Amino acid sequence: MEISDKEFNEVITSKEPVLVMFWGSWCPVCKRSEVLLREIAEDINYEIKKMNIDRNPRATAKCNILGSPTFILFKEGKEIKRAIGAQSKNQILAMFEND
Amino acid sequence: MNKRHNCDKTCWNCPAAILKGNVDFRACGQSKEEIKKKVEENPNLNMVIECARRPELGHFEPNITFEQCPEWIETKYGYMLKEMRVMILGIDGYLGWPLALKLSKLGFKVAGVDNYWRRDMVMEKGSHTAVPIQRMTQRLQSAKEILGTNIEFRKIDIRTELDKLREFMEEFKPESIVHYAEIPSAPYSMVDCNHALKVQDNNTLGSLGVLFAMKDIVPESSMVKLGTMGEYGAPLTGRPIFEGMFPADAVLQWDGREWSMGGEMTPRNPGSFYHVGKVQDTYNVYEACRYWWLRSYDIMQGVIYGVHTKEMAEDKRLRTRFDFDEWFGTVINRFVAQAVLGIPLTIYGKGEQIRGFIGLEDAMQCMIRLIISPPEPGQYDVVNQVSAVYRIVDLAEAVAEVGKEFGIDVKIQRLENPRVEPDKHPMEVVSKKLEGEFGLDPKIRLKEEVRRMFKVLTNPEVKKRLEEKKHVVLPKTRWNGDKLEMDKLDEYEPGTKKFKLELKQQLDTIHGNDKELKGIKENGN
Repeated sequence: MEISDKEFNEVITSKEPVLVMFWGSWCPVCKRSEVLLREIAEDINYEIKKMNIDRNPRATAKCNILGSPTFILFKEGKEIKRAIGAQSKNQILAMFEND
Repeated sequence: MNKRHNCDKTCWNCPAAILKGNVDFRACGQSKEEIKKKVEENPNLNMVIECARRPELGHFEPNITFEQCPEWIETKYGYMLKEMRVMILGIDGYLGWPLALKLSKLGFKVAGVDNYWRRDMVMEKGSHTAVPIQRMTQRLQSAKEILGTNIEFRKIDIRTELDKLREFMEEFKPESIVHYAEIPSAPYSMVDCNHALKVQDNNTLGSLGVLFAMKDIVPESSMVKLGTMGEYGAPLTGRPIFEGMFPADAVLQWDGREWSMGGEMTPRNPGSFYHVGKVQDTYNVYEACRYWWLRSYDIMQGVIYGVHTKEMAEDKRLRTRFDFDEWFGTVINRFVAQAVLGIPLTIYGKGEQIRGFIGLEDAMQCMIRLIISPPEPGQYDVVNQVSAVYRIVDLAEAVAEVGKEFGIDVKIQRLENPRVEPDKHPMEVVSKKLEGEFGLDPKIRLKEEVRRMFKVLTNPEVKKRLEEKKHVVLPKTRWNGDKLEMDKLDEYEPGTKKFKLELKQQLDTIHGNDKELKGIKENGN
C-alpha cells in the first residue's frame, strides 16, 4: 500500500481512480485510518495507496498537503476529490461515487 | 505470533538514526513554502539520514530493516538493538527492579535512578515490604554476583534534581527511557491536600521535566511510560475501552451528520487525584510528541500482581518488594496477604467492580517488546496492558480456593466502599496491540501466580514480617477525607454467595472476545 516519490506519478496517472492517503508517523489518526483503508481495499475494485508526508517531500509539496491525514482521489493524473482529517468508512466510500 | 514481530521495522524506528539536520519534519500547513523551495532547488533531493552506530555509512536512505541491520540481533522477543541503552526511572520499585534485572540479563545496557520514595511512603503508612529487600547498593552488588549484570545507578529525584538527571542522560545517552518514577497510589493521593499535591506535583510535573530533558539531550530515544487503565474509568454505557484513541470506524452521529472519531483521544474518567495526574501526563506526553517529534508508548497498565520473574527466582537477594498495606498493596497481592494473616478478604460493597489485570512477568515481557520496537518520530501510541478482566469478588473466591491448598481457611468480608465509584458497572476492554503488533505471548495464569504468592508469604521469615504490620492492612483512607475504618457489612464463607454476572464483562483481544466470564476457570484464566 505504501508508495514513495519515485512511483507517485505512475500511480496517479492510472486510468482507474486511485485513492492516496497522505500520512505522518506523528499522526495518531493516520495509523487508525490505515486499518480502515485495508478493510475497504478488500471490498472495492479500486486501488488504495498511502504516502508518508515527511519522507516524500516532492509529492507532498506538489499536492499542497495542508493537514493530516489527507485523502486525495486521483484519476489520469488529476485530483478528483480531496478530504482532510479522519474519515468514516461511508465517507471514504462516498469519494469513489460517480467515478 | 512468531518471535520476529519487528523484523520489518526500519531506520525510522531506530534510535540510532540521526534525523536532525537530515530530515525536515514539518506538520502539514507549516512551512510548506520552504519545502517547495527546497524541492525546486534540488530535483534530486532524496531523503537521507546518518547512523550514530554506523558512521561509516555516511548519508544513506533510511530503509534498512531490523532484520538486515547488523546492529539489530534476533532474540526470543524479536529483534533487539545490540546493547541498547535503557534508562529506568524508578528502578528501585516493584516493577523497576525486576525489569532492570531482565533487561541486563538480555544484554541491554541498563542505568537507573530512584529517590527511594516508595520505601519512605510505605514506612509513612507504618508498613514495610513483606519480602525483605536489600538496600540499593547491595541489590546492585548481588545482581552482579548472581546474574553477572552491571547496572548503573544514581540516587536522583526527577522532580527536584532535574539538572542531575540531565547530566546522567548526557553521559549515558539512553536510547529508551522507561518511566516508572511516579507515586502509584490512588488512596495515597486521597489522604489529604498535601498528599494530593505531592502526587500530582511529582507525577505530572516530574514527567514534564523528563520530556524537556529528552527533547534537549536524546530526542531520538523513546519514552515507554507507565499510565494506568484507571485513567479511563468504567463507562456506565458499557462503551468499549479502546486503546487510548478511537479506531477509524468509530463514528459520531449527530444532527443527521456523521464524523469519524478515528485517532481522537477517548474520554477519560479518572477515579482519584492520582488518576487525574496520570491523565494530565498523557496529554503532556501526547503534546510533547507533537511539538518536538518525541516518541512514546503510553501503557495503560491493568492492576499488577505477583512475585515471580525468572531472574528473581535465582536468589532471594534479587526479589522485588511486596507491599500489602492499603496505600501500596495491589488487590490480588493484598488478598493473599490477608489470607495468610487470617483477615477475611476485604471487598468493597458487593465487590462487583471489574478491573483489568496483568501478572508481573507478563508485564515485564510487554515492556521488553515495546522497548525493542520503538515508535517512529513524533509517534505517540497507547496500549492497554491487560491479560484478563475480573470482578473483585471473583478474585476473592479464587484466592480463597487456592488458600485451602495451603490449609488456610479463608473468609470474605464486605466493607463499606471508601471510594467514590459505581457499585456495579459493565466493562469491555480492548487489548489487541500487545499481542497483535508486538507479539506478546502471555504466560501467567492467575491461580498459578496466586499459589506462588502463598508459597512466598507462608515462608516463616516473610509471614513474620506480615504479622508485624497486620494493623495497616484494613483500609482507612476514604475518598471524602475521613480517616475511619470502613463499616463491615457482612462476612461469609467463600462459595456460599453467588453474585450473578448481570452486566457485560469482556476482554477483546486478537483471539476474539472473551465474553461473559463466569467466575475464574479451573486453569486460572
